[in-house]
Amino acid sequence: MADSSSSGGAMPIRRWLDRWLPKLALVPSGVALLVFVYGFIGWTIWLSLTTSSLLPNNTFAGLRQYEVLFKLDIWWVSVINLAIFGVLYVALCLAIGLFLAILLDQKIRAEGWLRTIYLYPLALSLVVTGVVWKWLLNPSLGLEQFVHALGWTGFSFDWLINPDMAIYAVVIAAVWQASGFVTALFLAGLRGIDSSIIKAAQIDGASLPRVYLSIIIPSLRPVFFSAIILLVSLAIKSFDLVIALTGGGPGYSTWVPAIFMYDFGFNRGQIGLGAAAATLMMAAVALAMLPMLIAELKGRRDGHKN
Amino acid sequence: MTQTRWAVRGLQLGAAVAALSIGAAAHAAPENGTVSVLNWWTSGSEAKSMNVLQDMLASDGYKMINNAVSGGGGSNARTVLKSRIQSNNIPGAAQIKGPEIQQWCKAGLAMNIDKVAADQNWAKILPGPVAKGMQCDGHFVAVPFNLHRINWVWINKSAMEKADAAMPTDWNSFVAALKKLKAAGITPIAGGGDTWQVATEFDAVALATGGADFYRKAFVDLDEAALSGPKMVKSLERLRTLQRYEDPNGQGLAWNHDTGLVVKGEAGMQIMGDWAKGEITNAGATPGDEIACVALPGEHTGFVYNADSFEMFKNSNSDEAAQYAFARTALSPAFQRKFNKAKGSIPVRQGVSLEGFDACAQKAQTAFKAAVDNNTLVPSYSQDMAENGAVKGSLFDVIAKFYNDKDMSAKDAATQMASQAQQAQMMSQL
Repeated sequence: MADSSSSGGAMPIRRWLDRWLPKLALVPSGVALLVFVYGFIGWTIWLSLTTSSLLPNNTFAGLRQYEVLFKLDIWWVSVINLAIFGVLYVALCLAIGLFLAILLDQKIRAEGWLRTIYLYPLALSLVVTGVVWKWLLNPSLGLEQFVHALGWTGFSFDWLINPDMAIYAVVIAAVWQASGFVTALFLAGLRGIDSSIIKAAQIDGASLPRVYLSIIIPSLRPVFFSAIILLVSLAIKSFDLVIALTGGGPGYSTWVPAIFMYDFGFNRGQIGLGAAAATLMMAAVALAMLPMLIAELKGRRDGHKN
Repeated sequence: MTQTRWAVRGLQLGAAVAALSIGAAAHAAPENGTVSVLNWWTSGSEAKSMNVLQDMLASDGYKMINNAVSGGGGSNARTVLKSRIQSNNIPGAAQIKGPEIQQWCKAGLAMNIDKVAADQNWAKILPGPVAKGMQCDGHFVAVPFNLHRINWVWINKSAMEKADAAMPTDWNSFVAALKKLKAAGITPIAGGGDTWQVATEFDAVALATGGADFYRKAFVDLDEAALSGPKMVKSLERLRTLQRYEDPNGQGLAWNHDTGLVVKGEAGMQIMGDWAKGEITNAGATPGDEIACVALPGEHTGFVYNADSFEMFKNSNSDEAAQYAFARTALSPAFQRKFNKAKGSIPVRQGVSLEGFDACAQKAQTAFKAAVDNNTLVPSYSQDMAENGAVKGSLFDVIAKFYNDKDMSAKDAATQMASQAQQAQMMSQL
């Protein structure tokens, strides 16, 4: 510092700029993040503790909204649906994604074409996905009608209109949409594995399944980590697909917490209840992510030491 | 994550509203004042009617800014209204109906328009119950546009002939006709695609089964005995009967698709409000001719009404004179005729000629007068006329659960209806 003040001229300004420009450039996005993400998270949590109904207000009501929320059948239906949907969605996407990626990784012909085809569903918006599957799964328009026309008239596939099964229809459409993307993630991971390790294992006499189970899949750990984080947050946020595919129906049998939050907060004029639902959704994301995040960060630090 | 997404949606909506306002601002310069009107009439005849209103106001020297927000059956417009009130950019008039009028008024935002009401003598030209709904603490704060009848059955006459079924006159003959339609391989009732449609059917069933006094006690007063009592149980049992005659594969299909099925003769009947007439006409049929309109039969007759209305706001971005002019023009006989003919409703202003309206509108008018005389006019709970969103939602939840769970008894549903409605009522009054 003393050096710069003695030399004078353009140099100190430049140095000052060098030091502060990156920080200045980050300020607008930092402020936006602070206000629009963390600020509104805070506001939502506060609203969930007030009597807010048609308009937000600041009358403190303690945990009253949560008490009511836990008594509502429709909330628990939403939560159970999310659990079913989330577990199946993440598990099936990972399984199908990994399987397809391993198949694609066998140095096959036309891999580029296949990869594109698998990835294509992701290019469709969730609303389009929902509408297409709505037609495919509608018993009198889609699959069931098609099979009947082929001659198998006893065939029945009515998940979309069956209140007990409709959530599984949502899983089908969601997995179709996202598994190609997970395939691409895994494929990139597979390409990153040092082939000399595999060759060494093969020389040592390891069978192919053994190579996959003990070497390749464990080394895909970071890919699993990113894929699960992405899929879990997508699952908890899921809204548009359900709206387009089932509209939450039959009745409210395919409601998920995001639909609950929207409908109570905006349509029914119960902002407090909607905010309570939103707060719990955020808590769920945090709970699902934290252990993984900690484990991964710890693993990385340990890896550093070695 | 969710919050950001809504913030983005909000911005998009805001941008859309801004774009619309700029579009409307291109009209002639106002001499007497400007009124901005927030509404959700963005499609077909409704949007055209708003343009008619805009032109009528323009010829009197007022500028009407049409802030139309599409989607969600008005829920997007409601969201925009809330955010505009929060940011102190309050519209001069906003499309609000039923008890929500009182909610905004209690929030201290509504503008007193007694002056227009006195000039036009609203006490005389508006039907009593409707006028009461437009008032808050004895002052007029909103202007009604129309009267829809909910408890209609739309019946394809040739489908009935094909099935050798007679026009229904009471509940038993109604069910007999459904049976015959089913035997003839025609879907007896098109409906049940979503909860809103089921709730609309239940509107008609509850009035026909329990009568106007029961309807008001249950859906307006939320009386526990009425909500869980034998008349409600009987109404729910009849809803179950309707369900048996509806196509289970119709799940997720919209009401206007169902109207199309009736016009094509693939389905025999639909229970729906008279906005279905627009779809019937679009499909090339005449309401009252090929497609008959009959009030859903039962032990009781009456008129379940839905009135669209606009509430005026004080401290808004509009001029008071223009707000008055908006209310005055909306109730002018010329606009009442034009608007209601296009929308399928009947004029809310009494004494307006129905010349040139279709047969079903004439029938609705007669039924309306009879209902006023016999005190059998009731506000539709399914169209937000009887309860606020929270209570309506809780009623819808129980009806959805009952309709989709064939093992649920009508008695259980009625009991749940009473407890859930009261809980929602309590929460919205905190």
